[in-house]
Amino acid sequence: MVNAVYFADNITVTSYVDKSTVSLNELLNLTVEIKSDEQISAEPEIPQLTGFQIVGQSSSSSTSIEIINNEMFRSVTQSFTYSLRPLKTGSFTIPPIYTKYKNSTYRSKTINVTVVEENSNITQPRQQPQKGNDNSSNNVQIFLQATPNKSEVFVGEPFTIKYVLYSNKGLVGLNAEKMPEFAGFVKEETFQTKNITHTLEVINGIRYYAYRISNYTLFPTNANTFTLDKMELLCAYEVPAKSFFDFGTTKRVYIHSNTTSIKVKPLPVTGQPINFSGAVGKFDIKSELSSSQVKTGESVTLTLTISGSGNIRMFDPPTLPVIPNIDTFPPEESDELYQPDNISGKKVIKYILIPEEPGTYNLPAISFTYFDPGSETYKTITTRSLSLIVEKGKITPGSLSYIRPQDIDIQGLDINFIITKNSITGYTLVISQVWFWILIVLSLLSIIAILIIKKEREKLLQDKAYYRARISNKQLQKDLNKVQAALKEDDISGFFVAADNALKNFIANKCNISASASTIQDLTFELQKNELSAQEIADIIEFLKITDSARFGGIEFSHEELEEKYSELNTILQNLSKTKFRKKR
Amino acid sequence: MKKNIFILSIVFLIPLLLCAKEYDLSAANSAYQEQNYQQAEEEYMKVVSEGVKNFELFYNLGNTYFKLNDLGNARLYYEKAAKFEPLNTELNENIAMLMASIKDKEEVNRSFVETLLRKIYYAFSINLLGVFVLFTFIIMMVFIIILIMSKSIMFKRIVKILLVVFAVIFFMVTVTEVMRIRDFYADDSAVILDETVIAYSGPSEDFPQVFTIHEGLKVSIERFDNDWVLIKLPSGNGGWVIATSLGII
Repeated sequence: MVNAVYFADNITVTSYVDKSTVSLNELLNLTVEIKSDEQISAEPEIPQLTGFQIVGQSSSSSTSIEIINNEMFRSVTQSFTYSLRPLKTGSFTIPPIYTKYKNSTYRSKTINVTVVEENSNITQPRQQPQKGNDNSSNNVQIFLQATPNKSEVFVGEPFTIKYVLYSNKGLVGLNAEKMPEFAGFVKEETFQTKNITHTLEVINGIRYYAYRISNYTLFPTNANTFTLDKMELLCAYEVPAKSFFDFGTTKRVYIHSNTTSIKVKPLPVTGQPINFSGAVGKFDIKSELSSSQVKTGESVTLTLTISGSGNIRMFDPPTLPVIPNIDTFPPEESDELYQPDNISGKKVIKYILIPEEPGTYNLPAISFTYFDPGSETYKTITTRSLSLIVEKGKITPGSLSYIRPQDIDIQGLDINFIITKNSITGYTLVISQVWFWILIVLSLLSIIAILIIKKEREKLLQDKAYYRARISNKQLQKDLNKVQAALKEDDISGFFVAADNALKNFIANKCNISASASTIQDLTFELQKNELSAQEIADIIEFLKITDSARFGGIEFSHEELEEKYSELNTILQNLSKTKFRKKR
Repeated sequence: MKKNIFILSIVFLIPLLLCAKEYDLSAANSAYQEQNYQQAEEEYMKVVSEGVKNFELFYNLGNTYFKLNDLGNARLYYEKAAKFEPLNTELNENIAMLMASIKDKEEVNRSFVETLLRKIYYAFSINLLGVFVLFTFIIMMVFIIILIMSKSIMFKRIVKILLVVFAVIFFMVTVTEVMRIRDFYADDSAVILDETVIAYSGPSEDFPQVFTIHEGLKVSIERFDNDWVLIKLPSGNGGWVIATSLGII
């Protein structure tokens, strides 16, 4: 028992009576319970009780072991029961009962008891099962208490509601007739009784068996004032035998829960951020990278943890900002809620990132906005930005970044850029240029020119006489050159041969006759056909005769005489060229 | 021989003759690049006020007005630029983007054949067509000369066929050139510059209203009457608007 000193911390002292109204012919049982973790030796000190006399005393001890969440709780209860006989009618107060243990004093609450005149009916239980909890007349008190922990909440703000059945008699049967539906709420049942177990609770000095029926955590989905659904239970208790022939009966009663209402307020619209995800409560955010250094094509996990209390299951995770050249997958999301009421917990969001290009990336801070019902404001919390170093990895066929061609990321549309040509010229039409028309006219003129040339050529081909007339001057020039050459050399016979040729060729060309075959007579005949004076013809004949004789005769001529002959030839030729000759066809 | 040298020298002189006065756009272009669109507009307009007509100038000015959110003028200068290069991809993309921003819906639905004909019609620039006209003409003349001079009957026959072919090409090119020049100098379309323009059934505000149009819409001009213009919508509806509310392309 030495250890008791250290373990006997949780000592509670409760006092209760078995009924709040007692008649003078009855006994009232006052029980003092000392509950502790270990067996302790302590005894309550019963004060002087006015109106009652202690007629008997008994004590008992019980040990109970309860396992909650895999933890064992052991408790020892020592009960001291005193039988009290009322001495007179009226309202009496049983004062607090003190219990001393070690150096501490524990006290129980006061109890009010009413003592009435003798009435035999009070103890007679009714024969019919009853609905409701107005069983005070037969001393059976059963009621179902619904206790929400808040009466005013915001949309999304969770609250709990507990259903506890209180009874001053031990129950032998319990059946759920109607469970609440909670329209307008998302409900989570956090506790439901499986077997009839009870704890003892004292309310207003009366000891009740308290049966925890169920606990709910409710998340309001829309704003309104809700009257919560009632729970209906069918309870059965035993009425003990009153006489030897009475075996006792089981009675059934329907019990409703009390009416509770909850006011659900809407979230304030003013100041609501755009990225508000619907989270209501109090949260904390944390981000973490599975590794700060990866190779391209390898994946890295960005874990975002939102922990706290609130509607953890009911909001969307924050979206990851787009990081260029990092491929992301839809996040993996898991919720973990803590017992007993599932209000606090954490949301773990895992983003898988696959960097596609090497480099140092700054993963931007992720912000998360929630509504804090305590301060009735929106709060934004932000993670710190993380950096990720990506090295060039081996891209092998089949690796993730290799096989997935993706759509080009289009950030926005804009007009095409200007043409950055810094030097321009004004617009000029080619056909308005002078050279254009010059070329057109020239090519037209060339056609005309070609046509003229062709006509000329045809004329020449057809008309030998015309040709000879045209070439006579050329021939003459050649012949006269020969004459001049002979004159320079004083070649008398050469001079006369050349002069003779020149004159005969000229006349032959003009008259279109053969020069070599022509005699002086022929020439005279031809010349006479044309408009030449007799003197001129005589001069030509004279000149030809001299040349003939000089060619063969060997007559001596001085240089001066030769020049005189040359000028004579020129005069004749000039006269001839002035004359128009009839063309012989 | 002397004539040949003369023709050759003229052919080589063509590029020299084409070298007209040059205008500097560097100040305007750099203002645009610095996103100083107000200044860019002033600089481009300086060149425009000198009477310069140039594709790059009009295109860049259209872009500048687009950036200044002056959709009417943007459309006007894009359409002016389109007269030079109607098939320019960048220009047409910008016009399409602009048409998505203007209030009045304009639908351009061209059939396959229309698109093809348009592509052929606008395949070459007016000046290139002019050069084609000149060269096909010269080639035709050369063929005629050959026909005149040649004596070989076989050779003449081949040249005759070629001459017919080139005559057809010359005819088509010339007709296209004439039509293109007529289009180029036609003042028959305009762009609405005022934000909202009300059209009346006659050349005065006293006539009943017929329709309301908004800036950036391209309309065709039917005729003028003092300060009023009779315009025609793509849908065929006609109405009189104040001449100052539109810019002639």
